[in-house]
Amino acid sequence: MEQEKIKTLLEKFYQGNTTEEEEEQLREYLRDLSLTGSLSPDTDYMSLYRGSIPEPSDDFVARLENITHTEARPPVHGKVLYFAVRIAAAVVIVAGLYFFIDYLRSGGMKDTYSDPGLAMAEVKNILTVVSHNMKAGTAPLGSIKTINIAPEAISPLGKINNTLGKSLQNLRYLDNLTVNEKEIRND
Amino acid sequence: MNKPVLFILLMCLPLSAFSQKSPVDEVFDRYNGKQGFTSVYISSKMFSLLTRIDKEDDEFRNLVTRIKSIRILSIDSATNLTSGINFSNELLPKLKKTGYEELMTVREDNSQVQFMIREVAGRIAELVMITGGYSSSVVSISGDLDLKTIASLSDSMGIDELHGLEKVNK
Repeated sequence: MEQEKIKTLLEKFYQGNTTEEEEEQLREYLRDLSLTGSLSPDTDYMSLYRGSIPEPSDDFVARLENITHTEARPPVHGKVLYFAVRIAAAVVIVAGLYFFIDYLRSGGMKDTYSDPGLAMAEVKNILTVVSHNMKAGTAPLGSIKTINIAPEAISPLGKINNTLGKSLQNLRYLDNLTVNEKEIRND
Repeated sequence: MNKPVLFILLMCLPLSAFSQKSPVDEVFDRYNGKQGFTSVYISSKMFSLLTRIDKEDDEFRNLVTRIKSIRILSIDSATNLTSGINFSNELLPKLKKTGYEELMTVREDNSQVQFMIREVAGRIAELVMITGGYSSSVVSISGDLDLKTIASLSDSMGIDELHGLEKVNK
């Protein structure tokens, strides 16, 4: 019977609903040495609460905060830094790809000359060849000047053409006249 | 999709277009290092060194600073006769399809020289000179090219003046 009472009290205790009197009563029950076996763990547990729980000192909270509190950085800075790192990573990747593709575009070709002096001689040589060929191609363009002069030479012919055109337009009046004469004769 | 991955993919899209090889690149890839062919490559890094060497000739230095790279591919005459490779036939149709414009064709005796240019934003980004005939070669000069500058360079090199080139841009 007592065991059932103890179990009820224990259940109430674990739920945190016991009063101080009930807790004291429970301790007294558990002190009884005859109660062993299934309730022994509870006896051990309750033994921890025999003494009064000391109240924390006044500066306890302050000391606890000193240990546990870390200065929280504003979240905005963290986000900006994270974003900047991501952008930097993307830039590095893209730059790497650019140089890789540039290398591929050059067909994996390496500089033929390691000596800048020889490279200079080759550059001058090839540019001379290019210039020479371009000169050969553009030399006939000098004839274009003649074409620019030609229209001025033809301009008197243009004036004659205009005069002829006006004269021919006047002939239309003659056609009208002949039509009018035919109409008069028919009347 | 994860945002950074999407961002990187978007950044790479223009690069993928950039990575497409031009017909000139393909020809260099095909014949570079093969027997019977001679190739020369002068990179932008070397050009940056060249500007430091020739400090006296300002005109040449100005031109060199504008050139990014020069590639030359030539076929040995013996190989040319036996292989039947013709850079003009191989390159020209492809170049015309990929945005290169014909600048001029010079025919002299048995040889034929064709100049092709590639423009980017109104500037000549590449000049390709294809020589056919007995000695076949391809010269590709890339950078920010100015034909007038090349013409003026030939003056300093003792070549006759290229007055006609001034009209090419017009």
